[in-house]
Amino acid sequence: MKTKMKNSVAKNNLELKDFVKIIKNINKTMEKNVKTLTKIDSNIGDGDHGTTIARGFKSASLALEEEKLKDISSALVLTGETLVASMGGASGPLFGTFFRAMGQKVPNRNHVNLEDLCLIFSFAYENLLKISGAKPGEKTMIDSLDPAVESLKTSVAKKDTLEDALNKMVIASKKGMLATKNYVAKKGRAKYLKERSLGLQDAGATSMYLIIKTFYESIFCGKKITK
Amino acid sequence: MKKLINDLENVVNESVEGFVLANQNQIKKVGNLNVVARKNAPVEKQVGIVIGGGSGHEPLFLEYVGKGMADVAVCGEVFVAPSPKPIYEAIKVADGGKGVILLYNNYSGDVLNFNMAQEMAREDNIKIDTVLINDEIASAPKEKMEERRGTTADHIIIKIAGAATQAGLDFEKTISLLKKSIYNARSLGVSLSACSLPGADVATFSVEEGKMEFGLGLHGEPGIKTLDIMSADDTTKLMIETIIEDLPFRTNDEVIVIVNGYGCTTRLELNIVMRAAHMYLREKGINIYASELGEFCTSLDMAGIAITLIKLDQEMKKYYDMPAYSPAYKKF
Repeated sequence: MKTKMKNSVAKNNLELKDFVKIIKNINKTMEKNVKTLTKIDSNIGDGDHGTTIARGFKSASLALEEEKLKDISSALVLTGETLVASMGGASGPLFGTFFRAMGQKVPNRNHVNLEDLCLIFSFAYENLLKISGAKPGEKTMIDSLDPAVESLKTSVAKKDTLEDALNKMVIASKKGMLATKNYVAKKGRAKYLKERSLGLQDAGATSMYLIIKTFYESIFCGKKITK
Repeated sequence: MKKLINDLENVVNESVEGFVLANQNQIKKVGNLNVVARKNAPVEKQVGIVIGGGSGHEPLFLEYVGKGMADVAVCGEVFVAPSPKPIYEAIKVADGGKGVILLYNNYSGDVLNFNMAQEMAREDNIKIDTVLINDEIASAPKEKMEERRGTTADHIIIKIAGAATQAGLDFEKTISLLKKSIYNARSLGVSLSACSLPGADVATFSVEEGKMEFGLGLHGEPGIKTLDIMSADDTTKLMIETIIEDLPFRTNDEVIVIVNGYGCTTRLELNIVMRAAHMYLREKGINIYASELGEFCTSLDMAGIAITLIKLDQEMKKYYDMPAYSPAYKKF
């Protein structure tokens, strides 16, 4: 009964402790999905993606515990830098840049609302486009991020609650992830397969989806249906 | 998949340690990173050569460090490009004041991380530039050559780089020499069975009984097409014809021919392929200046071979003929 009361208060802001929880949960998510990601990556890549991304978030999770964090920005920048340092591969600089850029865009406050979050995601997305040279439709992590960012923008315009916005973002991201099956790879090692990459899901897009899904589930316990 | 390892997380660390222990008379480890350098690095007044990439291709890159070869090698996790920090440390160890050249295979992960490290070095005012190896012809058409990946020409390109810098060739001239050498190197591979990553339950991909993968890379990626398995002679013929068309190599050209085993191919087979390579090159009127047979660049336990042709000119020949003293590649 008590919990229900607590939940009925709408949560409209994310604080430092929420972000720390999100990163730590991403670590758990990746750990749980190592084998799945390895399998997906083996089909069209070299099979290292699962262990690489799990290594990255394990390090980031530890770094957040060890460092004294002063604000949301420093937590996200530290996460990004730890990912770059610990992962290697293409994923290290790409996911690392994404989180570092998020951190750089956090306003100088101890909480962020939906509008802030939309700006933060958009900025990180732009940075990722720049460093990767990828565009939507090239069978990369961009494909599960692009619709997620679009969905956030729509939610801001529609004045959705934070919960609804994150929930819709997960649904949009999943759609984008599944759509990678229909694309011919243009980036990464999968591109050498050309048409043979058709029908197969991209591992980077899968990881990006898992990150976005964990974002939502860490804050709202995943109670809503995310089809 | 059975592998003789200890802790999965320490596969590369322990392998690098073992290599350094076995070669401590000429190799040193840089900090506790998976970075190895020739013992007297940095060599004063000499351009430094840094090589590197994911592990799992041994002897590449780890074992090609030494006099007349690379100065420093950076090793990432298995099939994973190293992160910027160890590359940056490698650059500092290679910097003898005449500039450092980053020489590695053209894969997006390597490029992203090496570029970040290169920027860090530039902030320290180290003279530095990059030369990408992209010899593998199945990975992109000729018009998009800059997108091709690097594979089995590596050890010869590293050898030419090491000889040239050892002989005192300057930064700019070494870069031109390397670009020319890479342009003249063309490779193609086939595999008969896939490789398996340490700790993985299954192989990275599977090659059906009676089939072979044609035109693949070094990471157990499937090739560009699957063919019915052919004899060694027919396979070699198809590979050589495809390579010759790509450059094009002409009658009376002089080449180095490399027959490379990917990790799980017997020398018994490699010699048969070499025999066929000589036969078809002779038929095409191409002169073989040197033949290199062995495992120069592997893909864990993949079965298969790659053939590389490197067209030579006088300058490349001069540096190819000079001595080299790395643990895995020696020339006297």
